[in-house]
Amino acid sequence: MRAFEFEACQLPLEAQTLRQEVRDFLSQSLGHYTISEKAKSWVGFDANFSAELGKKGWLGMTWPKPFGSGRSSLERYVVIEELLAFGAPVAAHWIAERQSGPLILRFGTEEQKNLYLPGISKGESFFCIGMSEPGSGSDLASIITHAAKHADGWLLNGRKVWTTYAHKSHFMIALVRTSKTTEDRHAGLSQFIIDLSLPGITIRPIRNMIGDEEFNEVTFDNLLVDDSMLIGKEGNGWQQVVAELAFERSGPDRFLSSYILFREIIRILQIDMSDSAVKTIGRLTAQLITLRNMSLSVAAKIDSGKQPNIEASLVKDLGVAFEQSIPELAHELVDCSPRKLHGTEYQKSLAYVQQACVSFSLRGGTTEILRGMVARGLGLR
Amino acid sequence: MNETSKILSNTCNQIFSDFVTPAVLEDAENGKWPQKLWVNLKENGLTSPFVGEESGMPSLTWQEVFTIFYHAGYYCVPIPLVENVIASWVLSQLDEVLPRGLITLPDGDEILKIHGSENNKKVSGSIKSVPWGSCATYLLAIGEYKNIKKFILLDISNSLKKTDVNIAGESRDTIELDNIVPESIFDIPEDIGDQVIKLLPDLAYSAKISGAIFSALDLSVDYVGTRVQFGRSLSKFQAIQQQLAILASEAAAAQTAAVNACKAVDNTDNLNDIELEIAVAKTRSGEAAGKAAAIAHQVHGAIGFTYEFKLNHLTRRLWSWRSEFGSESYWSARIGRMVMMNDVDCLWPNITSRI
Ligand SMILES: Cc1cc2nc3c(=O)[nH]c(=O)nc-3n(C[C@H](O)[C@H](O)[C@H](O)COP(=O)(O)OP(=O)(O)OC[C@H]3O[C@@H](n4cnc5c(N)ncnc54)[C@H](O)[C@@H]3O)c2cc1C
Repeated sequence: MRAFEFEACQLPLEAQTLRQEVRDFLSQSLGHYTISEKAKSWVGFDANFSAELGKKGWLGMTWPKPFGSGRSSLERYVVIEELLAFGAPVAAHWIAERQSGPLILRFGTEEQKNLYLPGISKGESFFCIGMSEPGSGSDLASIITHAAKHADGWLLNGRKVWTTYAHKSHFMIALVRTSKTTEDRHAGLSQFIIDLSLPGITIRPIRNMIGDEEFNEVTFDNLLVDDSMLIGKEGNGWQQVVAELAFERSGPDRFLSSYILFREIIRILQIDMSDSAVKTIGRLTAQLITLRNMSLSVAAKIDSGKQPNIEASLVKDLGVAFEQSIPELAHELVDCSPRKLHGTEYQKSLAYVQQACVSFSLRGGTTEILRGMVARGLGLR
Repeated sequence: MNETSKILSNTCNQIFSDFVTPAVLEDAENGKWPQKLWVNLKENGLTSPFVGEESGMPSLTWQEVFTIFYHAGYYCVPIPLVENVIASWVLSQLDEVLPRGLITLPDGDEILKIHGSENNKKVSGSIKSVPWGSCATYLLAIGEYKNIKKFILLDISNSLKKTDVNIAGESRDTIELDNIVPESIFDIPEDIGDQVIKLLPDLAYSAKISGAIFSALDLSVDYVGTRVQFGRSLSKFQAIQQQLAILASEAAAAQTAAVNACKAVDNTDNLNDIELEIAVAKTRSGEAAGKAAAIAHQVHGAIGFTYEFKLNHLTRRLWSWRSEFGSESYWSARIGRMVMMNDVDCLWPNITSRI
């Protein structure tokens, strides 16, 4: 039995109608959006835009009624790839819709579903992911943020870091230790929904190298959390996190992050088409189309109830390599320096992607860690 | 994989593991035709899987036939199987009865001049890079008569042949045609086009490449599991694990590219419309071929550089196949032109309209 399999996926016919609806909506509602704003891809944050998507019924669309509209993950795929290829500002709802919502749907209580899912699918309540800590990045099981049983619930102490958009989110789903470290490092971890407006939480934005404030340090100081905020089973946090991460590894967000820049490079190269430029664009287009087909194949597998974890890791590995090759391509083929403030839209886009792209192979699990997972799938470890 | 593909996969595994032994591979490289293998494939309907009636098998889709091509690559099958399959497909599209002997196709864009009078047409000229030209009975090629391109089926059994080989030692012969009377001359249907004998082999070679890459991956995984250095098996070294994960990603990309091009053939009414998919398949699998071969050799060490160890049969084929029936240079330029001659704002709509 092969460790992984990629079959051709056929998008349902309804998907094409839906695709056109999304396109029409985007050109109406974001017609004013500049190229360099679009180049930020899924990091652009716009709460109003997320709410509009919610009104359209395009958030949580795969969730069963009444939370969503029970549509297939291939239809959702079409919506999100259109958003990303357009460069729409999806960050506000992105994590909630991609990760937190599905997690709550799968492991949450009825009460939690009723409480949180409607806000997510309306594009009104935003979530962040509290996994990484100062001492725990790739080695996530080594986290020390701790929740102690308390008469009124749980008492949390510790610190999360690199928490994307914590300062603009309503809730965090935090992975914490609920029992003392045991032989099995993966035991004794649990997940909580944390209302970020509670006292006992300090959120400090960390300026990134681009100069933007996106990720944060989040400190819990005797934060009291109600019992009802525990998701899934106490001690089952590791299994839940593994399932959650699989949602985030194979989508179009893993190969379209530099698409706007890619397109603008082509626009410049069209002016005088050199043979070498034509071939390079051909080679990269072949990569792009193949990545999309790989990613669609994973979506179809998820749709049929399978857990294609190895496939998802392979898509992310190749996908971020493609995304990171785009600024390299710019330097190879276009004689033009990036500018941050007053350059052309192309120069500003390049300035952004050039810097942002180093994070693509870190966020969501580093390339080395993903390759380790593939190696395990191959039976090497 | 659907049921048919699973059955095909089992059949291929059985026949190829029985009949493509190291000895057969070596003999083939020395010019010996593997008759038993050929006969077995023919008996099982694998040499013309699109022509249902002959074998009693239902006619297969291209996505199913992918399985045959894939295994032909996986096992380094040393006969022009894909050439024969494709030639048979073309003839079946023309409602022709298949001739009994082996049919091959030329790798190249040569167009043969058809001369002579209306009822005494003949072909002369030299045609290069014909896979197993020296063993084949027939050649399906493109000819030109009064400035109109035609398919021509030629009996080449008595023609003069000059043997040449690619770096895998696979026969790539030159055939001298001296006033040969074609067996048949056909008009080229518009929905098939004269590019077909480049496009479809190109697709099939991508599928073979993906099979050979998976084979190199399996071989590498086995090898690093058994070879011990520094007191542990190589598979325990992280540097080796990471390299094989990269090899796996290239295998996956090559397979995806080839399978999706097969799907495109299944779904189209006109082969000329899916040049992009086929070009993507060859460009991406060709890129994967180079990367995969390098990694497989690196993790094998010196043993992989010997003739006896079978890795070289795979890697020499990967290097050969990536450039045959259109190299990456050729196909990436075609894709690049398709993209760049168009409004770039149509790139994404074009990509997504093709599924
Ligand atoms: C832009 C951005 C947004 C992020 N958003 C979030 C968020 O919202 N929530 C959240 O919880 N986290 C977030 N992260 C954190 C991210 O998950 C971590 O950066 C990632 O898991 C790696 O951890 P680290 O940065 O501590 O690097 P480390 O784990 O210290 O790794 C450093 C280097 O060593 C390599 N390495 C580590 N271990 C091994 C090993 N066993 N074998 C081989 N190589 C190894 C890594 O691959 C990497 O190259 C974000 C990160 C970035 C860059």
